[in-house]
Amino acid sequence: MIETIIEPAMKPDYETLQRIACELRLDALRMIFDAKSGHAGGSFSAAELITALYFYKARLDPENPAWEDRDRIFVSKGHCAPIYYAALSRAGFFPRGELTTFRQLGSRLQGHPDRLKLPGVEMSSGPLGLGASVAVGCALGLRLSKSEARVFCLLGDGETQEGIVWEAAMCAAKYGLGNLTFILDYNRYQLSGAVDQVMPLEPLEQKWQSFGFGVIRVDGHSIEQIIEALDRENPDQPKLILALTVKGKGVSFMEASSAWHGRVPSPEEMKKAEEEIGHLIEASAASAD
Amino acid sequence: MINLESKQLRATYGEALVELGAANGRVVVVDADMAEGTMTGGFKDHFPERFFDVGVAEQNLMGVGAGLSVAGWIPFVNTFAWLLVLRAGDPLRTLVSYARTNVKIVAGYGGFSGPMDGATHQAIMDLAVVRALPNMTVVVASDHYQVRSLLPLVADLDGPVYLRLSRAEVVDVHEENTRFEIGKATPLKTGGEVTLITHGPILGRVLTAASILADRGIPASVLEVHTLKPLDGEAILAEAARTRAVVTVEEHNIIGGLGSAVSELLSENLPTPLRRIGIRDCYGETGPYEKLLDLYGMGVQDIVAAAEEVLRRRGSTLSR
Repeated sequence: MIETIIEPAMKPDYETLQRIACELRLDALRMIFDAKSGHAGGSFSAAELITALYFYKARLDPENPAWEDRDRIFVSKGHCAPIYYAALSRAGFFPRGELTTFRQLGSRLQGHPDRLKLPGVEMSSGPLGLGASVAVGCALGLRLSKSEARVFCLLGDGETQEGIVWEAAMCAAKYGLGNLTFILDYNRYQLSGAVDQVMPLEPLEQKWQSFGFGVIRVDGHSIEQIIEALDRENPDQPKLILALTVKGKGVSFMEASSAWHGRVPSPEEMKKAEEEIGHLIEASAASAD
Repeated sequence: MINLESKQLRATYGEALVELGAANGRVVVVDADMAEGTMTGGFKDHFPERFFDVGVAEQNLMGVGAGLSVAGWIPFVNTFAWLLVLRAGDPLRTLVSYARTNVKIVAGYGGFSGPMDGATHQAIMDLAVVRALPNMTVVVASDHYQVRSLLPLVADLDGPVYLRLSRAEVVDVHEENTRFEIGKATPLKTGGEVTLITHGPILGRVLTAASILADRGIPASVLEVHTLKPLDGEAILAEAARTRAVVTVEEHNIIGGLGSAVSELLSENLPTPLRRIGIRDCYGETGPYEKLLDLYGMGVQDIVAAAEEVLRRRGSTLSR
């Protein structure tokens, strides 16, 4: 386990961050396997995005989760709770050992995040689209407080079929929320199939631009590209990072499919998945050396 | 002294909100293109930087309110009652009730008080929805004095509140020295033979009915349950134990509101002859406000008749 504390101002250590993303995947996989429920596909696609937020960009104080000037991270796609919880615990919001209680009766690690139960969770989420709206309200509030804190909101792609997301987008543009960044995990699969089939979102970049956002398209598995996009500031305009990702990224048989949106691996599949992610961790460790 | 000037309850809310904004710098107001109707325009003029208009987008209205609370503000979220609980129902449940955020939801146009707009704009079920949402405090205001008294209490309460207002023309019924406490019913007439339990602007009709009953030799207690949740069970049970005859009066469907709450309480603790006055599970229509109340079973005579009926039923129960 990496104990390095990564200060935002430092030159990012891309290899270490890449390794953290893979280790979070392994944690998430084990949580889902143990709980016999949970969402692997959308957790894995978001691994690098969550890693860049929690271990590079955001100013947080896990010792004092209610610190007034903390950056706010809203995980609107609440079904990626496994990777989210793995990141929160690694960041120090709660003990890592508690990850094994995911989806167990009495656990603070609910099926979808509950802000009243788990430190670090800014807003309870799960019902899709709501996080976008909360993020806009929070960004308005922080600006009114003259706070330097920034607001980040992780959205799924299927989630942006919800009308509230576009209500929130209009509002963010109206108020010129330069302290707001939406990060769209565009893994192209939703629960029942391919996004392009279920309800096409394209032309996505133009849609967000026309709603008043500055859009930055990145490879959502490239820590370097994500960080570069996160660091690009525009004080007068909300930002959307359109992260091209692969659903189930990191486990060959889970990739680019809706089948693993909410499926649990069998013991054989689990063994193979652990091996594959283990190789990725080794590879990122090797390139760091 | 009671101020007998008749004006719309929402107008007083608009004035009280400005006073609250001056007294409490953490209060912010969010509206959804309804400032003309909800009367939040005064706040907007006085504190433009603390006023946000999200346009015709009620889901986002609720979400923005929740977000402002996460940033440490006390948001007052305003629009029509039915939009708040139905269009914005999931954000209300998830971001306000479940997440227990410090959001104050101010519901305009309660009951039939948007009469000329017709049934789509009348809120006959909003209290049933919010009453079934855990963590919510539900308050129904009756007159101007009460709105001015309750608003600072709503702001100071730590947690989500649903405050139901009205567009109706209302005359003050409370004495200027009346003190209200959220969660505590206010007795307006005591020692009666029958208990009338009510809240909201229909309180005026209930007091008229009580006078008529008194003229007929039947003194009536009037208990104002302005806080529907948490329900002041102690005060209601004490009254019911004394009179053994209860009528509830509300400007809401008789399913899920005050009548239901009182019935549930009494059925479990003290079965009591009871009648519910309210909208009898049907939609309203366009028409003058007072006439709609009469037409849909909330006339003064309906209240009087219900009181006499529960007394007859109490009599037959006692003689059995």
